[in-house]
Amino acid sequence: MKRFLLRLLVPLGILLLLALVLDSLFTRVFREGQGTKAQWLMGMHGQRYDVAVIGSSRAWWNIGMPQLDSACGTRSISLANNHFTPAEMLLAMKVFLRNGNSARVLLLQVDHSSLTDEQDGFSSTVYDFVPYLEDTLVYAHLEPRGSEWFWLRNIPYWRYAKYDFKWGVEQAALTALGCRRAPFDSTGSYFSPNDKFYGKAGVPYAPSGHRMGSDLRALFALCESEGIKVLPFTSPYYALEMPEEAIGAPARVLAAEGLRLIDYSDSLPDKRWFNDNKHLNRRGGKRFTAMLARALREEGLCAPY
Amino acid sequence: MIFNSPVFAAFLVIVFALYWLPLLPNGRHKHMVLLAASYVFYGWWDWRYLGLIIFCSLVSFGSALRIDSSPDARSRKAWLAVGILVPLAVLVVFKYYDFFAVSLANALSRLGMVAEPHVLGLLLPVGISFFTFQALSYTTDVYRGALKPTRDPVAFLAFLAFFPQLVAGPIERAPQFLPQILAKRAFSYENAVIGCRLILIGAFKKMVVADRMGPLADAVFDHPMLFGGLFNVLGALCFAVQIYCDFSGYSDIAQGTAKLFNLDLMRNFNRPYLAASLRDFWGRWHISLSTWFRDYVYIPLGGNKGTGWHVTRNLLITFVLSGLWHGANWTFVAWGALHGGFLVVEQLMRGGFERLPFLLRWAITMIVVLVGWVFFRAADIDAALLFLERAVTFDRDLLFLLKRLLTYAESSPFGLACTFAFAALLIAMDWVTARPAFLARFEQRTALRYASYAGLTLIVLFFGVFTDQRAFIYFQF
Repeated sequence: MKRFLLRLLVPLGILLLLALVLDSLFTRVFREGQGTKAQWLMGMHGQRYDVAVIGSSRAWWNIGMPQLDSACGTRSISLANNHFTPAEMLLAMKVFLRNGNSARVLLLQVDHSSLTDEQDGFSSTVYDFVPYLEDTLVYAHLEPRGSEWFWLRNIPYWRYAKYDFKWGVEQAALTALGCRRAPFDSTGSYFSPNDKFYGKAGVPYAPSGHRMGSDLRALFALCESEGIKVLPFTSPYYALEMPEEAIGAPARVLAAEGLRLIDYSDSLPDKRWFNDNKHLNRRGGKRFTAMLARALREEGLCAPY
Repeated sequence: MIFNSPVFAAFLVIVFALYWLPLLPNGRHKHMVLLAASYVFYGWWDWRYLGLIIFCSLVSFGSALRIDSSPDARSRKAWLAVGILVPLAVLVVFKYYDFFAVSLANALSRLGMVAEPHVLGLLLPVGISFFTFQALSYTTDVYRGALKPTRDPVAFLAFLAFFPQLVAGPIERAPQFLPQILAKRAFSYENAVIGCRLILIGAFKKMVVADRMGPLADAVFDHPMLFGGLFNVLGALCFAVQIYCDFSGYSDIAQGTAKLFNLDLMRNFNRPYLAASLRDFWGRWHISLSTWFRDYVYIPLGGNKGTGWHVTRNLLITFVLSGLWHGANWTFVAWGALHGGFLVVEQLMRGGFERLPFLLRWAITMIVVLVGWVFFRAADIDAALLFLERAVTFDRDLLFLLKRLLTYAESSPFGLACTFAFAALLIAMDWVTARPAFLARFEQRTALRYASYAGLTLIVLFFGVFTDQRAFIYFQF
């Protein structure tokens, strides 16, 4: 037994040592990279913006910051990311502000998904923050929300083994070689590369149980404490068949909190503007950005710093 | 709790320590440790189903004792019926009742009769097909006189619930396995080393090959209209590799874990894709199940005895039941019927098939196996037929389809290349380890051995799929 345990413990010890070295190496490599929104955001320091946009892909893909800037004469940034839930938006906003960045106005995408049960917890996008678990702000945000974060942070290399499709060997090599490119421009904007429509008419969509969750509430409170004016908006949908009570529910929930939602749900009633029922194509994105620029002008928020 | 999870690793360390600690001088605590560990392992999924396995175990234990002590053939038969019908009823109620109720209602509605099926909607208990079959064979073996029933309830319950093989086999036979549990066991260094080696190989098969192949197969099977031709064939091939590596990986880990407790489980796979006939295939694939059906269904039906019609009937019944054993779905019935049907063809050729050139026999066998996997994997019969229909189409835009495959499988060209390279490595490993001369050299050369272990460990660490710990496919059966 002693011989077996010794022979087992020695390789296990070597494995642990290797995991420690690799964890440190991968963390270092990934923190230098610019391939994801999280990496890009973590590297952003001391920037002043007029307008920031935050939300899910329905904010990220649909709004072009350079176009907004040229229409409004502002300097703006898109912090939006695919699947972003309120908890992830809150984390991104905390990091953005902690790093000495600022914005006067926040265009906050608020949809049915940010007000129904879908808002709770994280999406897979949260794992973009995996290389930053030693960051006290990031860890303090994640740790109370599940024991997984404790194990990811404290078992060497476990985070990179578990999420290797985002942070594995291939990604480490590509990042180290500078070949892992971000799919967005310097303002964080991204438009769909094609104008094709993949959705269909009359897609049933029945969100229910609308309520203001704690993360969204915290996001509003954070912005208020930082003097950021928040403009909540809903991006356009195409041909979703919603129950009567769901239509206008986001606006009602926000109104109950004393907030006004700019509702663009039905503003582009043609499939030629869309990639699918929830995402605009390039043409639709440009058109929607023009609408947002007009709204900013009307609110008197177009003046630069 | 599944084998490729950190929870299982911690669990195994605790059970290993408790098992080998000299807690009781006669070592009797080992049964109790195994039983307690097995019930913790099983209860981890759903503790409410522990009652089911305990109930089945006690029925088998009691009826076997009554068979042994019954003075006349009639009461022996009556207790055999209890020992068989009760676990079978449990299996039917939990696994098949809803399927048959819905199928009957559908059949009646086709005949123009309106029937609202009464479904139970019960959650399928993990591993129910495995432990009930083990219980059935125990009672039958006692009835046949192949084994004396044990009077040690703890040992028997541990035999039926032994955690490494509880949820996906191998389906152990009491004459081989129960004496091992009852015997006094000492730690064996050699077996423990073999156990660790098997666990490592199993982890490689499951986490590196099967779980990387899975998304490729899923992409094609879930979107048969988006692919077609070569890509459907590729999807079927990927599933063939996935299911082999998934299930044989599980069996390796189960065997390896048992070895850590100095217990031997039977070998469940023997390079099945080298089979040159379906008969050969079933001697190499899920051996514990195929021998179970041979001994408790096929031979009692008459086996190879009788006319050609009798053999045909026996083969078809056995294989349709074997298909149904895998799941309550017509796709599994079709899979079983396809295998049974082709075995009938082989049988009717009376050795003619064996006289064909090896490569031709192998190719024919593999085509039948691949077509069978399409039914096995597809959601329903229509989906399987659509998949096969699309497989014989031709699409020129292969590069576009490859990009589409990578998108749906969330992979990259590098990831795809790695996946196929690891599958090739596995084939090479299977090939060389089949040679006794190589194995002897491997055992003698310490550096080569340690380099192989280190290499496999690094591959699992760097390329293994740890996310969500995809459950083993055979858990659902």
